[in-house]
Amino acid sequence: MLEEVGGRMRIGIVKLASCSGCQIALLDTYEKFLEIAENVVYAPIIMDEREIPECDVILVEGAVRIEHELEVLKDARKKAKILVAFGSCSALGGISSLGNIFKPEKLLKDVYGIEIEHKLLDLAYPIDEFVDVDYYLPGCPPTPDLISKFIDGLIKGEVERIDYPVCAECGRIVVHTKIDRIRRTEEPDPKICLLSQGYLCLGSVTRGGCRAVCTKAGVPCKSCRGPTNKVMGMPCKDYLTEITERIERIAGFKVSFDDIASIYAFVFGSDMKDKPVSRIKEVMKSGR
Amino acid sequence: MIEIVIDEERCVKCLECVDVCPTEVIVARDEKPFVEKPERCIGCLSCSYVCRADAIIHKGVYIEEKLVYDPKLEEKMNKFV
Repeated sequence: MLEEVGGRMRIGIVKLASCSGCQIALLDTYEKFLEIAENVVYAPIIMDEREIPECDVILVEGAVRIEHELEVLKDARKKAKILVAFGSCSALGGISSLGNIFKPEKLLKDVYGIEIEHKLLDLAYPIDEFVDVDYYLPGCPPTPDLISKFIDGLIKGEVERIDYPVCAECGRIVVHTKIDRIRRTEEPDPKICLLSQGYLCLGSVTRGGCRAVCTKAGVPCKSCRGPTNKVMGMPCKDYLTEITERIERIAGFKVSFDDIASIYAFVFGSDMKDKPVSRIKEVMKSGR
Repeated sequence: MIEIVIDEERCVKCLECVDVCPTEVIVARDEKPFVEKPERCIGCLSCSYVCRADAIIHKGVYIEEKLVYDPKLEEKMNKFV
């Protein structure tokens, strides 16, 4: 529950390794942002403030890539009553953690070519590797609609949790077919499920709430909001198996793990990618 | 008896639930899933598992998969918005 200090809730926005897109999405909420604009006390992209003040809510955007960011993050945790992983980079690793494929030295050499002051961590981590997180708001970026709802929920002290896949909002009809090949850039039929047409759409395993803006416009879902609770808590199966099986059932097409892994990029840096598949062994050992 | 409700708005009409139901509780009518004989439901929750739109609700049945129950993951899952 939030205690309002001096009659208002103080919001801070902390930016780590990211593109600032999530902060722009926050500005895109227009009226909602005007309502809360007075409450924002720290936001590097829109105001000049050096030190993080004591805040009620801090939205952390971006993954942890350099040591400086780790310090900033720990400072933010101390100053905040509620810490929110804002956007996919801080919640799941996101696009920032795609750099995990390369070694830090190679990244520095390729991007800058010169010695720089900052020291890179070995990988880009989602923030929950280092600090406790109170809420995760994934999305690349989270839609303005979602952000407004979330902030409203915070003020009321009751945040609505979304746990349904993108398919629930998409409205396209599934046709069982046998597709001959994977399609990428052709014009899809507007009423039929993208999977049935041969596009690799990850909507069925992705957390919804985005109003299916991509799939409604004919763009396959890239799973920017990460896996649903159903997929996360699935017994005896990892994500990639689950996704390939779903695609096989709908489209009659066996997709390789590598294909899926290459488009299921937003959870690349997350520990959820290597979730414990089965606990049978542990249970048997402890004799429960 | 378990009451099964199908959310028509969410349903994408893939009819996976019809294929998977072992006791033929859910049948296809006009290319839509329809709950015909709910008294035959054995509560296996297969239909809920295959449903890609989370449109099937079994009232009063709580799914708990003990063998993979992970308190840490559960806690994390409940924080997602």
